[in-house]
Amino acid sequence: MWDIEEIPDENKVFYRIHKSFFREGKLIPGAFREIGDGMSADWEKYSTPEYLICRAKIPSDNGIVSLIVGNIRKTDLEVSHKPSEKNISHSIIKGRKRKIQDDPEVRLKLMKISQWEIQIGAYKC
Amino acid sequence: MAKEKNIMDVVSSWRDISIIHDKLSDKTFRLPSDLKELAAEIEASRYILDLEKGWDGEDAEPYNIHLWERVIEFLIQMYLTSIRLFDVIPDFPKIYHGPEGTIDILWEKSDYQILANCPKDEDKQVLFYGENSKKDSFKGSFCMTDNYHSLLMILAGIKKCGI
Repeated sequence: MWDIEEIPDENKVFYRIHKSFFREGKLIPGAFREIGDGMSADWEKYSTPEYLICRAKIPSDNGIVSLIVGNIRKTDLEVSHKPSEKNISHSIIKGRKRKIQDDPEVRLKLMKISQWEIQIGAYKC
Repeated sequence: MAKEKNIMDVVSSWRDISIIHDKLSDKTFRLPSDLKELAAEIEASRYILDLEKGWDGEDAEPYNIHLWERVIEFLIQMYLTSIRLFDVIPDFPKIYHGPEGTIDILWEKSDYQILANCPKDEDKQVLFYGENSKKDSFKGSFCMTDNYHSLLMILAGIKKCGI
């Protein structure tokens, strides 16, 4: 199994966006929600946007955004490295006090700090 | 606060705009023509009712039609109240599907953004957060059915006085 490392503030994580969270050419705030123990992302140290999108069930239905870890932490969220057997880059973003989906402030800020790396449907694996 | 006016005096035209959805058997929302842009946003949000199980590529559930109705009724009431009390029509929002069966209302303008999240359960409160280009922020919560004035005051204030 992989060692757990500290993710530096200046690093980016990649987050997959399903096409259902893309309306009228824009990312919508519903895209940001914890599933299970948090919002799953890939740490750029061990991953790329292309690697992340190609692990989707239907890659063409998805896009990838990046977020700078320090900016995520400023919104009172934890970002931690949580490697899995198949994915050393796996990381978790979660609320310190409450879940991301229950906090409109956090979701609005995440939406604003997200940068598109791969637009929906723009990459063929 | 301005003296309360009769809604019939301040709405320039009462040519109603009806919003009917084929999944709503006996529901029609009526808005004055002053609010035709709000009607258009409501019409656009009907896509939420067409989201089927697994709409997110995983196992997301469909949205509850009664929640959508409550959100639309709340929005219409809030805008009519704004016209009646302040003689102001606030900026119009987008209405989107939110996380875990909730509905998001988003005012995304160049100089301010507000996100309000409407819960599935009637006994829970709407939570909202907003910030402007001057880095001022505001947040609050209210009951959707009768106590939206905290949000209304912000929206009407922005429209009347700027940010």
